[in-house]
Amino acid sequence: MFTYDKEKIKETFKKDIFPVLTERIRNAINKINNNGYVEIEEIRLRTNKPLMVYKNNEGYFVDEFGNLRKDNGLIVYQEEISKIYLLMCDYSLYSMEEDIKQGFLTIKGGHRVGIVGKVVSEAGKIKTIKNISSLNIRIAKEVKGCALELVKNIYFDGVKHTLIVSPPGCGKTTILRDIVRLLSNGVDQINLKGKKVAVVDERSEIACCYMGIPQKDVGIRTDVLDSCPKADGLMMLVRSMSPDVIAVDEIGGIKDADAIMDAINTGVKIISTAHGRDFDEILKRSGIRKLLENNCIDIIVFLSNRHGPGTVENIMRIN
Amino acid sequence: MLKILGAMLIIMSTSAMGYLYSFGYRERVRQLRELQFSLNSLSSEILYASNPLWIAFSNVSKVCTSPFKELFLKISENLKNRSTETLVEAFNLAYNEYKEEFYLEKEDIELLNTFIQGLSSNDTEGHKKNFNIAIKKLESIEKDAEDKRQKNEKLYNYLGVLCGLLIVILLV
Repeated sequence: MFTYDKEKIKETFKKDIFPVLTERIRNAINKINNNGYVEIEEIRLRTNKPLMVYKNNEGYFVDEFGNLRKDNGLIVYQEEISKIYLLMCDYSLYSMEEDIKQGFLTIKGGHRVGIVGKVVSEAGKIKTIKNISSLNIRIAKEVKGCALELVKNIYFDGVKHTLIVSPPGCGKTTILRDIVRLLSNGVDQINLKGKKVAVVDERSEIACCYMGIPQKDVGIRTDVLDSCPKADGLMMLVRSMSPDVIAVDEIGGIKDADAIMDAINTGVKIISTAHGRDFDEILKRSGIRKLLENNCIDIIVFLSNRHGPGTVENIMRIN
Repeated sequence: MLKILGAMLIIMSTSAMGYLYSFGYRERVRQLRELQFSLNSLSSEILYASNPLWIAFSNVSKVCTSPFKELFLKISENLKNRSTETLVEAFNLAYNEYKEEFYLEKEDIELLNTFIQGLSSNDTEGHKKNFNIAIKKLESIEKDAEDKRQKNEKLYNYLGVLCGLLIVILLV
């Protein structure tokens, strides 16, 4: 389970989240009792529906005085959503074109914003999304040291190919980021020297790059290839940066698996994450099954939300 | 002696007035050319580097001359600080601050306004079209401005001197 630094999260909200909201919504969230907003995991805006926040995995409506209610809240208008959307893109929709096609944006500070609306497609390919109707802001929280116990437990005899598995919202990326930081800086307690770590950060969630510069602490020996497709990025990094360890987020398809197997042949260790609840569920993913069949995964760590995000349920050692 | 000095003073001041009046024509042509140049740099910032507008404007401001230098820097700041809700407002806010230094006419400003509005489009194709239209229009506007300058620049210069002479002759 994670323990958060409240002051730091407050700072995050002031710096990254509040500037992209409109005044009405900002005020409502700011007024939540005792700075209660620091516990928010998601802010959901839907056209003509009440403002909603999720904390501790439960949804609440927020009214204009910052009260958390179950019945009703501050209604969010279409114009507000358009304005917020424009602010999030720095008024430059074109610079986010590729992200928008995938249905999300990454704003400064590395917070991911899911978007839905009317999809414009041409010849079966998504061109863009217009008439944005809902936004879901996921607050990225950095929890330094959250993976220390885990790292001590699984890497006491060297780094291994690792897969971190959990349903969404259980802290996969947070754990992965901290593992990257620890491996890169080295862990004295288990005599682990700092490794050259490279990160393929397709969705800018691990290092949370803004203008190419990591906004989160990913360690001293870490190189980040930002917004790069995973399969291409893996090969680029192997060729160009001679890493000891490569970290990637959310693998699944056969293409990812092939790229990982290629990279492993050059001697790097791979640390990755995947969506899933248990072993049976991840076996259904073709890419992961292939990796398991080819002995490309040594350890699987299962996370859950049982005692808050980041609860380690099970550590499975393969071979 | 005093008379001659006075007469010279009158002629000098009216010629200066004529010169200043014709300066507006020259400066407008220069500014229109500068604007074309900045739009070209801006298009590469947007279409190739895919930089967000505040970075694009700040980069362009480094390569162009006054008063566009200050204008673009101000727009960039407005966008960065998110001090306005739309792009056009950010432009207008900045333009009003440096209004005196611009010798652009109403049609030039209208063109600039439409262009800025087009910048909020979200696809590359739209941007290419927007740039093409703006640059083509600017070219024709510049041509007209150049014609006007050729016609009027000398006219106002001579008019200044001649007015001075006329006043002197009338007074003598």
